Amino acid sequence: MSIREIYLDPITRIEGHLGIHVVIDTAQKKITDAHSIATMFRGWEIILKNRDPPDAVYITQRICGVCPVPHAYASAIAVDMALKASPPPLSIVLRNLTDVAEILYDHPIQLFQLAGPDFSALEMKKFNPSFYAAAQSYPCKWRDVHGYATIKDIMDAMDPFSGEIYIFTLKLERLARKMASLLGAKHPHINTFVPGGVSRTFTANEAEQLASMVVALAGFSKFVWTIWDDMISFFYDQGYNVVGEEPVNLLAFGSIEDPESYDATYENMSEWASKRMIKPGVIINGKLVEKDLKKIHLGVREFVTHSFYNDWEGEAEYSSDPEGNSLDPRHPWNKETKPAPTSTNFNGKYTWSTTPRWQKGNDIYPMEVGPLARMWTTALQTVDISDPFVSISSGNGKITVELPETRSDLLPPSLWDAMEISWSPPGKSTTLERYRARAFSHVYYAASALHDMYLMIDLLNKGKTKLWNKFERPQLSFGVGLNEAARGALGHWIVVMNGRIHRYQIITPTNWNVSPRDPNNNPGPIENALKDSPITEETDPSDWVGIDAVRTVRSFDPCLACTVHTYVGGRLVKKTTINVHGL
Amino acid sequence: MKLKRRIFLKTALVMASILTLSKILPNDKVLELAAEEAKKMLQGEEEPIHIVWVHSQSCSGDSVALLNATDPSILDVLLGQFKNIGEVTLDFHQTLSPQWGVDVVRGEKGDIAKEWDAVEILEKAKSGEISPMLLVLEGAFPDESKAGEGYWSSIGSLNGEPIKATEWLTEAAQYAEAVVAVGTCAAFGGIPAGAPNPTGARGVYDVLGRDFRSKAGLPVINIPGCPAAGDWQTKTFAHLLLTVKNLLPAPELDEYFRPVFLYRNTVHERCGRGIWYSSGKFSSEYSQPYCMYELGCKGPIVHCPITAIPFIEGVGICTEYGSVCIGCTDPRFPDSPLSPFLKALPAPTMPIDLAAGIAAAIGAVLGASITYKARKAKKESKVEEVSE
Repeated sequence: MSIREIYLDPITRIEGHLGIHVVIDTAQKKITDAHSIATMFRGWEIILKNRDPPDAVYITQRICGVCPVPHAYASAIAVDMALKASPPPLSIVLRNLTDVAEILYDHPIQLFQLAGPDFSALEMKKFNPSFYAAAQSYPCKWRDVHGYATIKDIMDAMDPFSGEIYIFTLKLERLARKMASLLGAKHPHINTFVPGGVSRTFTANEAEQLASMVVALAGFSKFVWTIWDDMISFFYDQGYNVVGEEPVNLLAFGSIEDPESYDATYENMSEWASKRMIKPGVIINGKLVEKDLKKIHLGVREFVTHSFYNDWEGEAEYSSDPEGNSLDPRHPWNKETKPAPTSTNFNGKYTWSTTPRWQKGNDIYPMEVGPLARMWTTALQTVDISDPFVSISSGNGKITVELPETRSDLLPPSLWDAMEISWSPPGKSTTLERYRARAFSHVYYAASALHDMYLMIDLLNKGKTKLWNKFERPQLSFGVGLNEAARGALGHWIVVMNGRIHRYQIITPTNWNVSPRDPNNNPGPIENALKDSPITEETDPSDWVGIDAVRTVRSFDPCLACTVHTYVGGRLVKKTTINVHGL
Repeated sequence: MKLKRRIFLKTALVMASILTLSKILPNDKVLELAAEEAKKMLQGEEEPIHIVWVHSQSCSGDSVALLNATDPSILDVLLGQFKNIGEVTLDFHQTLSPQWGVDVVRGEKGDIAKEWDAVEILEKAKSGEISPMLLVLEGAFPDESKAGEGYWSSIGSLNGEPIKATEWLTEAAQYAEAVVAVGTCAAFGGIPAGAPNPTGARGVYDVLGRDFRSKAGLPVINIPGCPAAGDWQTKTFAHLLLTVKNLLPAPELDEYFRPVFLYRNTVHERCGRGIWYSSGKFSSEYSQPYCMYELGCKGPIVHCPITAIPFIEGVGICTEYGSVCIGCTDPRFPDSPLSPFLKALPAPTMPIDLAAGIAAAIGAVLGASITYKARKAKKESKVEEVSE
């Protein structure tokens, strides 16, 4: 048995700083062990402590320049709740559309600029030449839509910086960020979400401009889906679906509020969250075991056994939530984090990521989050939307989206025709299926944007144009904001004391996915997906660069700035002079 | 000598660009430069300018914003719209590079693996083997002396050990023709350096020292913003590439090393809602279309290009769209007096229910008082800077 040990560090083409340590058995051509290492820390929450609660909406999104809006939205929900604000329906539609706009750029940038090069001619020729040879004669099912005859043509066009697809998709991604800027005043990092609604001044003129963007992006989603559906079919036929498999333990918080149901209260959270376009849910061993968002939230735990932090054991402040439900000491409302950098040791501490787990009964489960998780939980619940712009139906394990005609001068005419796209849970969580679910998630979000456009026009017609309601700064209150970032379930937790931030906690999607071993020594989802995963590189073992490992890592679309944001320090509220001006 | 078509085209482009420069530079200097550049090109001597872009305590927001740029776009830069001033290559970029780190700690390391290893590029940059180099930094740089046996920010792995970002920067910077800090974190420390700054985060010019000069004789150039819009970045890069090629004088910088051509004005000075300010009409609720001073806007004390160069292709201007300015380009961001973001600057309160004429008069007085305050604040921070 011959062993290679490699630190794949930096893992480029993701957000932020991640290293992966892999041990490879060259005779069996597989990875025998893996550790995921988050290598950067900033200390976000101590910076948040004692600040004015609305500032959290601006500051927390700056954790991540790739996925700021889901942070801003999660934070706005948490702060709405804590500051007892109830945003008007039109402001929720605008928040939804800003959030969706971001996903409409974030998925394609992952698929075409970040992961794409791993499937491009540049890398296929170097590391998987036999796949590239097979691609020459492999016809594309969706040729009439995306315009490429063979998989080889797609691979050539995916070459970084110079490929036709690489360049085309960059432009459409920019359009999506432009849409987010139109609503958010800028992007990355939007400035228009405030507790109680939005601060955006909004007129019918902007509605028209938005509509043309949404239509172009909906047409673009046909391209995103057909390219990746064809690519994945090809890789299936090369036997690639054995790479990066891990157990079907999936968690989604759901996203895209129903503007008439959302009231920002903890009391009604189970109800309004169940009306989301993307459904909350927990799947364990392939079975949907929970879909009530409040119960999902109460089951969240965080550990630091293998992370560069000291424990907060015995310092939990709250034994129950605002409704009297029992609150675990390891729940985010109770957590204090204490960074303690030390040398790296795989038996001890080795990463700046913490270890979130979900508790059911006495068991704690590692959870994969991301497009595969949220499309899976949505496919098992009912969605039934049919308006003049779009139809979306879901339930019994199948989602079907009917995208309308999308005539836009930004798109080739082959993307103009109406198109029906369906997706069903694949039964397994693998590298390929994570990519396919991401492409379908793009379609689903594009359809949601069309639906929200309809809701906006409907509200404008009814004269419901209010965009903001007042908030207060209570003596003691709690907030939780759960949302989906492009890369999965994102949670913000806030405790307000004396009108200021007493505690602010964030568990990002990548926290779940790149988490290290937990107290039971169970690996996190990425570590687990890499273990026993085969190597397909065709070069001499001395030249293996770990392309299958990085394809797998990137299939989780990790975002490290998000992951390591954490907080430290004192629990006493500092006395500070309060500015009496303003609100 | 026979001109190859490509070289011919390039020469023509150089001539054309130099002719436009003749409006800026004295004529004999232009002709001299043109002759020199043309000669180099004909002899095939020009060395591409290598961009090495490293993230430390960053969120990658400036990299994403870079992709927003259209005037010019980053692909325009990389694919050769600027070939008339020589080739530009992006040798390393955390979010865009095809290569990744391949640090083999057990087993052989073959040539293909070496060639693919991103850490080899970082090592070359650190030892002066990449030249001429435009070094771009994103994110803040922590004080590693506060990390004990561990580290705060590592950018890769070498022989199984983390490569600490701050140490790498100190070594690599001495070989750079120009050093650019993109975004408020790299420029001033930004949110990671927000009170109480748990990791000792700093901006690049505080790590290298404010008297640092690059090989081209330039201080660290700051393009702050959270993030800096793509067009602000590419406009600065374009200017610097010309400077490094001796085709343009260095951009004029303000006391925070920001290019004056971008950061000359405050948000307030060019704000589309300025008219409401001077006529004394203020928004009292979010989403109203008037001046947002009362709601917490910090536009009067913050220098930022956004009102002149919006965020993406003319779309995205904070204050005009209804967002208060939170001061994200300012060295003091995210601390006082920029935060609390939704609370008004400590200055006289505006009685908004007065008759318009009286309100206008008060608005004018208020304007004067804020300008004075801003000037005073600026002066004070300048004094601080000198005493450092």
